[in-house]
Amino acid sequence: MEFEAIENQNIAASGGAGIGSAKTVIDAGVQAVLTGNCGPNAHKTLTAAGIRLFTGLSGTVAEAIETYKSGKAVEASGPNVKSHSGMDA
Amino acid sequence: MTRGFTIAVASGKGGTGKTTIATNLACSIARMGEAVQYLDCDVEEPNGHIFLKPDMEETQDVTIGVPEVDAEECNGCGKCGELCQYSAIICLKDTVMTFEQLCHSCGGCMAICPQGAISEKQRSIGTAEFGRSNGIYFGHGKLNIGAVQTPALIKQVKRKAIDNAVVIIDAPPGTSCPVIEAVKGSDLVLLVTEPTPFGLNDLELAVETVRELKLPFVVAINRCDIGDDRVVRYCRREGIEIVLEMPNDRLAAEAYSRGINIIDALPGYEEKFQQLYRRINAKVGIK
Repeated sequence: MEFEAIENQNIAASGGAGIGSAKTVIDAGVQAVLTGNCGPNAHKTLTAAGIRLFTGLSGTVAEAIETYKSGKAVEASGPNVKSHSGMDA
Repeated sequence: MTRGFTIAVASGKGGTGKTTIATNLACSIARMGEAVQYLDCDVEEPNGHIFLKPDMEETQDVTIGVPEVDAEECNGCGKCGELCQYSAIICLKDTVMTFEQLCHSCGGCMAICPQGAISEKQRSIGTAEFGRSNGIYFGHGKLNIGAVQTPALIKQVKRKAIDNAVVIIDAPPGTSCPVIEAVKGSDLVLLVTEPTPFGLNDLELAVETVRELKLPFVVAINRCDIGDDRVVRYCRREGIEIVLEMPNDRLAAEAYSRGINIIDALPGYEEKFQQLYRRINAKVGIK
Protein backbone atom coordinates (compact mmCIF):
# COMPACT_ATOMS: atom_id res chain seq x y z
CA MET A 1 0.00 0.00 0.00
CA GLU A 2 1.32 3.39 -0.94
CA PHE A 3 0.88 6.15 1.56
CA GLU A 4 1.95 9.61 2.54
CA ALA A 5 1.84 10.91 6.12
CA ILE A 6 1.09 14.58 6.63
CA GLU A 7 1.76 16.33 9.90
CA ASN A 8 -1.34 17.94 11.38
CA GLN A 9 -0.32 21.44 12.44
CA ASN A 10 -3.66 21.92 14.23
CA ILE A 11 -3.28 19.42 17.05
CA ALA A 12 -2.46 22.06 19.64
CA ALA A 13 -4.97 24.68 18.45
CA SER A 14 -7.33 25.88 21.17
CA GLY A 15 -10.05 26.57 18.63
CA GLY A 16 -10.72 25.84 14.98
CA ALA A 17 -8.63 22.65 15.12
CA GLY A 18 -11.21 20.57 13.28
CA ILE A 19 -11.62 23.16 10.55
CA GLY A 20 -7.86 23.44 10.14
CA SER A 21 -7.44 19.67 10.05
CA ALA A 22 -10.22 19.33 7.48
CA LYS A 23 -8.61 22.05 5.36
CA THR A 24 -5.28 20.19 5.54
CA VAL A 25 -6.72 16.96 4.15
CA ILE A 26 -8.85 18.81 1.58
CA ASP A 27 -5.75 20.61 0.28
CA ALA A 28 -3.94 17.25 0.15
CA GLY A 29 -6.60 16.15 -2.33
CA VAL A 30 -8.23 13.31 -0.40
CA GLN A 31 -11.61 11.90 -1.44
CA ALA A 32 -12.55 10.23 1.82
CA VAL A 33 -11.76 10.62 5.50
CA LEU A 34 -11.69 7.68 7.92
CA THR A 35 -11.74 8.79 11.52
CA GLY A 36 -12.86 7.99 15.04
CA ASN A 37 -14.80 11.15 15.76
CA CYS A 38 -15.73 14.21 13.76
CA GLY A 39 -17.13 17.42 15.25
CA PRO A 40 -19.59 19.88 13.70
CA ASN A 41 -17.13 22.36 12.20
CA ALA A 42 -14.88 19.74 10.61
CA HIS A 43 -17.98 17.98 9.29
CA LYS A 44 -19.30 21.19 7.75
CA THR A 45 -15.93 21.87 6.14
CA LEU A 46 -15.48 18.35 4.71
CA THR A 47 -19.06 18.28 3.44
CA ALA A 48 -18.61 21.63 1.69
CA ALA A 49 -15.62 20.17 -0.14
CA GLY A 50 -17.63 17.07 -1.13
CA ILE A 51 -15.47 14.66 0.84
CA ARG A 52 -16.92 11.38 2.07
CA LEU A 53 -16.66 10.90 5.82
CA PHE A 54 -16.54 7.65 7.79
CA THR A 55 -16.61 7.84 11.59
CA GLY A 56 -16.36 5.32 14.39
CA LEU A 57 -13.16 3.74 13.12
CA SER A 58 -10.44 2.68 15.52
CA GLY A 59 -7.19 0.77 15.67
CA THR A 60 -4.24 1.38 13.38
CA VAL A 61 -4.43 3.25 10.08
CA ALA A 62 -3.92 -0.05 8.24
CA GLU A 63 -6.84 -1.63 10.12
CA ALA A 64 -9.06 1.36 9.36
CA ILE A 65 -8.27 1.06 5.67
CA GLU A 66 -9.00 -2.69 5.73
CA THR A 67 -12.36 -1.94 7.35
CA TYR A 68 -13.08 0.58 4.62
CA LYS A 69 -12.00 -1.77 1.83
CA SER A 70 -14.16 -4.57 3.18
CA GLY A 71 -17.15 -2.21 3.03
CA LYS A 72 -17.75 -2.35 6.78
CA ALA A 73 -17.01 1.33 7.40
CA VAL A 74 -20.14 3.38 8.03
CA GLU A 75 -20.53 6.64 6.14
CA ALA A 76 -21.36 9.45 8.60
CA SER A 77 -24.68 11.22 8.24
CA GLY A 78 -23.46 14.10 10.41
CA PRO A 79 -20.97 14.97 13.11
CA ASN A 80 -20.83 12.26 15.77
CA VAL A 81 -19.42 14.38 18.60
CA LYS A 82 -19.89 17.94 19.86
CA SER A 83 -17.43 20.82 19.59
CA HIS A 84 -14.23 20.45 21.61
CA SER A 85 -15.05 16.86 22.56
CA GLY A 86 -11.39 15.91 22.10
CA MET A 87 -10.48 18.28 24.92
CA ASP A 88 -12.19 16.07 27.48
CA ALA A 89 -9.99 13.08 26.81
CA MET B 1 -16.24 67.21 42.56
CA THR B 2 -13.21 64.94 42.73
CA ARG B 3 -11.28 64.08 39.65
CA GLY B 4 -11.85 60.42 38.99
CA PHE B 5 -9.45 57.55 38.71
CA THR B 6 -9.68 53.88 37.89
CA ILE B 7 -8.74 50.94 40.10
CA ALA B 8 -8.73 47.46 38.58
CA VAL B 9 -9.21 44.58 41.00
CA ALA B 10 -7.50 41.56 39.45
CA SER B 11 -5.84 38.28 40.40
CA GLY B 12 -3.92 35.49 38.76
CA LYS B 13 -5.85 32.86 40.68
CA GLY B 14 -9.63 32.57 40.61
CA GLY B 15 -11.66 32.59 43.82
CA THR B 16 -9.29 34.79 45.80
CA GLY B 17 -11.92 37.43 46.57
CA LYS B 18 -11.79 39.99 43.75
CA THR B 19 -15.53 40.57 43.74
CA THR B 20 -15.74 40.63 47.54
CA ILE B 21 -13.09 43.35 47.70
CA ALA B 22 -14.37 45.27 44.67
CA THR B 23 -18.01 45.39 45.80
CA ASN B 24 -17.24 46.18 49.45
CA LEU B 25 -14.79 48.88 48.39
CA ALA B 26 -17.43 50.39 46.09
CA CYS B 27 -20.04 50.41 48.89
CA SER B 28 -17.61 51.93 51.38
CA ILE B 29 -16.64 54.71 48.96
CA ALA B 30 -20.31 55.44 48.24
CA ARG B 31 -21.01 55.72 51.98
CA MET B 32 -18.23 58.28 52.25
CA GLY B 33 -20.32 60.36 49.85
CA GLU B 34 -17.97 60.06 46.89
CA ALA B 35 -18.96 59.32 43.31
CA VAL B 36 -18.15 55.69 42.58
CA GLN B 37 -18.78 53.31 39.74
CA TYR B 38 -18.47 49.53 39.79
CA LEU B 39 -17.92 47.80 36.44
CA ASP B 40 -17.99 44.00 36.46
CA CYS B 41 -15.68 43.05 33.61
CA ASP B 42 -15.66 39.35 34.50
CA VAL B 43 -18.14 39.00 31.65
CA GLU B 44 -17.87 35.22 31.40
CA GLU B 45 -19.13 34.92 34.95
CA PRO B 46 -20.27 38.25 36.38
CA ASN B 47 -21.42 38.04 39.99
CA GLY B 48 -21.06 41.56 41.41
CA HIS B 49 -24.79 42.15 40.87
CA ILE B 50 -25.56 39.46 43.44
CA PHE B 51 -24.03 41.68 46.13
CA LEU B 52 -24.88 45.14 44.82
CA LYS B 53 -28.42 44.30 43.61
CA PRO B 54 -28.61 47.17 41.13
CA ASP B 55 -31.72 48.50 39.44
CA MET B 56 -30.92 48.20 35.75
CA GLU B 57 -31.68 51.18 33.57
CA GLU B 58 -30.12 50.30 30.27
CA THR B 59 -29.37 47.14 28.30
CA GLN B 60 -27.15 47.15 25.22
CA ASP B 61 -26.85 44.35 22.71
CA VAL B 62 -23.11 44.04 22.04
CA THR B 63 -22.03 42.96 18.59
CA ILE B 64 -18.77 42.46 16.76
CA GLY B 65 -18.03 42.69 13.05
CA VAL B 66 -17.63 39.34 11.31
CA PRO B 67 -16.92 38.67 7.62
CA GLU B 68 -19.55 38.14 4.97
CA VAL B 69 -18.22 36.93 1.65
CA ASP B 70 -19.71 37.90 -1.69
CA ALA B 71 -19.33 34.66 -3.67
CA GLU B 72 -19.70 36.55 -6.96
CA GLU B 73 -16.70 38.75 -6.25
CA CYS B 74 -14.49 36.07 -4.63
CA ASN B 75 -11.85 34.58 -6.93
CA GLY B 76 -10.79 31.87 -4.46
CA CYS B 77 -7.26 33.19 -3.95
CA GLY B 78 -7.29 31.92 -0.35
CA LYS B 79 -5.45 34.87 1.19
CA CYS B 80 -8.16 35.40 3.83
CA GLY B 81 -7.90 31.83 5.08
CA GLU B 82 -4.09 31.92 5.20
CA LEU B 83 -4.24 35.06 7.31
CA CYS B 84 -6.87 33.95 9.82
CA GLN B 85 -5.28 32.37 12.90
CA TYR B 86 -8.61 31.10 14.23
CA SER B 87 -9.91 29.18 11.18
CA ALA B 88 -12.87 31.56 11.20
CA ILE B 89 -12.60 31.90 7.42
CA ILE B 90 -11.23 29.21 5.13
CA CYS B 91 -10.93 28.88 1.41
CA LEU B 92 -11.62 25.48 -0.19
CA LYS B 93 -10.79 25.31 -3.89
CA ASP B 94 -13.60 27.56 -5.07
CA THR B 95 -15.68 28.30 -1.98
CA VAL B 96 -14.96 30.41 1.06
CA MET B 97 -16.55 29.32 4.31
CA THR B 98 -16.88 31.39 7.46
CA PHE B 99 -17.23 30.24 11.05
CA GLU B 100 -18.51 33.40 12.72
CA GLN B 101 -18.40 31.99 16.22
CA LEU B 102 -14.61 31.68 15.96
CA CYS B 103 -14.02 35.18 14.54
CA HIS B 104 -12.06 37.60 16.74
CA SER B 105 -13.09 40.54 14.61
CA CYS B 106 -9.60 41.69 13.62
CA GLY B 107 -10.77 42.75 10.16
CA GLY B 108 -7.70 41.18 8.54
CA CYS B 109 -9.62 39.14 5.97
CA MET B 110 -11.47 42.24 4.77
CA ALA B 111 -8.23 44.21 4.51
CA ILE B 112 -6.29 41.52 2.65
CA CYS B 113 -8.96 40.50 0.12
CA PRO B 114 -7.73 41.78 -3.28
CA GLN B 115 -11.24 41.52 -4.72
CA GLY B 116 -12.92 43.53 -1.97
CA ALA B 117 -15.32 40.60 -1.70
CA ILE B 118 -15.52 40.56 2.09
CA SER B 119 -17.75 42.97 3.97
CA GLU B 120 -18.57 43.26 7.65
CA LYS B 121 -21.80 42.19 9.28
CA GLN B 122 -22.71 42.29 12.95
CA ARG B 123 -22.95 39.28 15.24
CA SER B 124 -24.24 39.47 18.81
CA ILE B 125 -21.80 38.30 21.49
CA GLY B 126 -23.62 39.36 24.64
CA THR B 127 -25.20 42.21 26.54
CA ALA B 128 -23.96 45.11 28.63
CA GLU B 129 -26.26 46.35 31.40
CA PHE B 130 -26.06 49.55 33.38
CA GLY B 131 -27.93 50.82 36.41
CA ARG B 132 -27.57 52.04 39.98
CA SER B 133 -27.26 50.52 43.41
CA ASN B 134 -27.36 52.62 46.60
CA GLY B 135 -25.44 55.52 45.11
CA ILE B 136 -23.10 53.31 43.08
CA TYR B 137 -23.12 53.52 39.30
CA PHE B 138 -23.24 49.90 38.21
CA GLY B 139 -22.30 48.19 34.96
CA HIS B 140 -21.57 44.66 33.84
CA GLY B 141 -21.30 42.50 30.74
CA LYS B 142 -22.81 39.11 30.08
CA LEU B 143 -21.10 37.12 27.36
CA ASN B 144 -23.23 34.70 25.37
CA ILE B 145 -22.52 31.03 26.04
CA GLY B 146 -20.04 29.78 23.46
CA ALA B 147 -18.87 33.28 22.46
CA VAL B 148 -15.10 33.75 22.57
CA GLN B 149 -14.80 37.50 21.94
CA THR B 150 -14.55 38.38 25.64
CA PRO B 151 -12.33 41.49 25.23
CA ALA B 152 -14.81 43.15 22.85
CA LEU B 153 -17.57 42.95 25.45
CA ILE B 154 -15.26 44.17 28.23
CA LYS B 155 -14.35 47.15 26.07
CA GLN B 156 -18.02 47.99 25.69
CA VAL B 157 -18.61 47.84 29.45
CA LYS B 158 -15.58 50.08 30.06
CA ARG B 159 -16.82 52.62 27.55
CA LYS B 160 -19.37 53.66 30.19
CA ALA B 161 -16.66 54.61 32.70
CA ILE B 162 -17.47 57.94 34.33
CA ASP B 163 -14.77 60.63 34.19
CA ASN B 164 -15.18 62.22 37.58
CA ALA B 165 -15.91 59.15 39.67
CA VAL B 166 -13.78 56.48 41.27
CA VAL B 167 -14.16 53.61 38.82
CA ILE B 168 -13.68 50.12 40.18
CA ILE B 169 -13.09 47.46 37.55
CA ASP B 170 -13.78 43.89 38.67
CA ALA B 171 -11.47 41.99 36.33
CA PRO B 172 -11.68 38.35 35.27
CA PRO B 173 -9.16 35.94 36.84
CA GLY B 174 -5.98 34.84 35.09
CA THR B 175 -3.51 36.66 32.88
CA SER B 176 -4.96 36.25 29.38
CA CYS B 177 -6.47 38.71 26.88
CA PRO B 178 -9.69 39.45 28.84
CA VAL B 179 -7.61 40.42 31.88
CA ILE B 180 -5.37 42.69 29.78
CA GLU B 181 -8.45 44.39 28.33
CA ALA B 182 -9.99 44.84 31.79
CA VAL B 183 -6.92 46.32 33.54
CA LYS B 184 -5.72 48.42 30.58
CA GLY B 185 -5.77 52.15 31.29
CA SER B 186 -6.18 51.76 35.08
CA ASP B 187 -4.42 54.14 37.43
CA LEU B 188 -3.78 51.30 39.86
CA VAL B 189 -4.21 47.53 39.83
CA LEU B 190 -5.13 45.84 43.11
CA LEU B 191 -3.93 42.23 42.87
CA VAL B 192 -5.86 39.96 45.20
CA THR B 193 -4.23 36.75 46.36
CA GLU B 194 -4.20 34.24 49.18
CA PRO B 195 -1.22 32.90 51.12
CA THR B 196 -1.15 29.45 49.51
CA PRO B 197 1.28 27.94 46.99
CA PHE B 198 -1.37 28.40 44.26
CA GLY B 199 -2.00 31.96 45.35
CA LEU B 200 1.70 32.75 45.21
CA ASN B 201 2.29 31.07 41.87
CA ASP B 202 -0.57 32.93 40.21
CA LEU B 203 0.33 36.21 41.94
CA GLU B 204 3.78 35.99 40.39
CA LEU B 205 2.20 35.55 36.95
CA ALA B 206 -0.15 38.48 37.55
CA VAL B 207 2.75 40.67 38.72
CA GLU B 208 4.69 39.81 35.56
CA THR B 209 1.65 40.77 33.50
CA VAL B 210 1.02 44.17 35.11
CA ARG B 211 4.74 44.96 35.03
CA GLU B 212 4.74 44.23 31.31
CA LEU B 213 1.79 46.61 30.97
CA LYS B 214 3.69 49.18 33.05
CA LEU B 215 0.75 49.62 35.41
CA PRO B 216 1.28 50.56 39.06
CA PHE B 217 0.00 47.84 41.38
CA VAL B 218 -0.46 46.85 45.00
CA VAL B 219 -1.46 43.58 46.65
CA ALA B 220 -4.35 42.52 48.88
CA ILE B 221 -4.07 39.24 50.79
CA ASN B 222 -7.36 37.55 51.52
CA ARG B 223 -7.63 34.80 54.15
CA CYS B 224 -4.24 36.12 55.32
CA ASP B 225 -4.09 33.82 58.35
CA ILE B 226 -4.19 30.54 56.40
CA GLY B 227 -1.31 28.94 54.48
CA ASP B 228 2.20 30.25 54.96
CA ASP B 229 4.21 33.49 54.77
CA ARG B 230 5.66 33.00 51.29
CA VAL B 231 3.35 35.57 49.66
CA VAL B 232 4.39 38.18 52.25
CA ARG B 233 8.06 37.31 51.78
CA TYR B 234 7.70 37.48 48.00
CA CYS B 235 6.09 40.94 48.21
CA ARG B 236 8.82 42.16 50.55
CA ARG B 237 11.53 40.82 48.24
CA GLU B 238 9.95 42.45 45.22
CA GLY B 239 9.17 45.72 46.99
CA ILE B 240 5.43 45.30 46.50
CA GLU B 241 3.12 47.15 48.88
CA ILE B 242 0.46 45.09 50.67
CA VAL B 243 -2.52 47.41 51.18
CA LEU B 244 -5.04 45.02 52.69
CA GLU B 245 -4.97 41.81 54.73
CA MET B 246 -8.28 40.14 55.50
CA PRO B 247 -8.39 37.20 57.88
CA ASN B 248 -10.22 33.97 57.09
CA ASP B 249 -13.60 34.38 58.75
CA ARG B 250 -16.45 31.90 58.64
CA LEU B 251 -18.95 34.75 59.10
CA ALA B 252 -17.57 36.46 55.99
CA ALA B 253 -18.05 33.25 54.03
CA GLU B 254 -21.59 32.87 55.34
CA ALA B 255 -22.44 36.46 54.36
CA TYR B 256 -20.93 35.84 50.92
CA SER B 257 -23.02 32.71 50.42
CA ARG B 258 -26.15 34.78 51.09
CA GLY B 259 -25.11 37.62 48.80
CA ILE B 260 -24.56 40.01 51.72
CA ASN B 261 -21.70 42.52 51.76
CA ILE B 262 -19.07 41.90 54.42
CA ILE B 263 -19.27 45.54 55.54
CA ASP B 264 -22.93 44.97 56.43
CA ALA B 265 -22.37 41.62 58.10
CA LEU B 266 -19.21 42.08 60.13
CA PRO B 267 -18.19 44.96 62.40
CA GLY B 268 -15.08 46.93 61.56
CA TYR B 269 -15.00 46.10 57.88
CA GLU B 270 -16.46 49.35 56.58
CA GLU B 271 -13.60 51.20 58.31
CA LYS B 272 -11.14 48.67 56.89
CA PHE B 273 -12.35 49.33 53.36
CA GLN B 274 -12.43 53.09 53.88
CA GLN B 275 -8.82 52.85 55.04
CA LEU B 276 -8.06 50.85 51.92
CA TYR B 277 -9.65 53.60 49.84
CA ARG B 278 -7.51 56.26 51.54
CA ARG B 279 -4.36 54.23 50.91
CA ILE B 280 -5.30 53.78 47.27
CA ASN B 281 -6.09 57.46 46.99
CA ALA B 282 -2.69 58.37 48.38
CA LYS B 283 -1.06 55.88 46.02
CA VAL B 284 -2.79 57.27 42.96
CA GLY B 285 -1.72 60.70 44.15
CA ILE B 286 -4.97 62.59 43.90
CA LYS B 287 -6.63 64.74 46.55
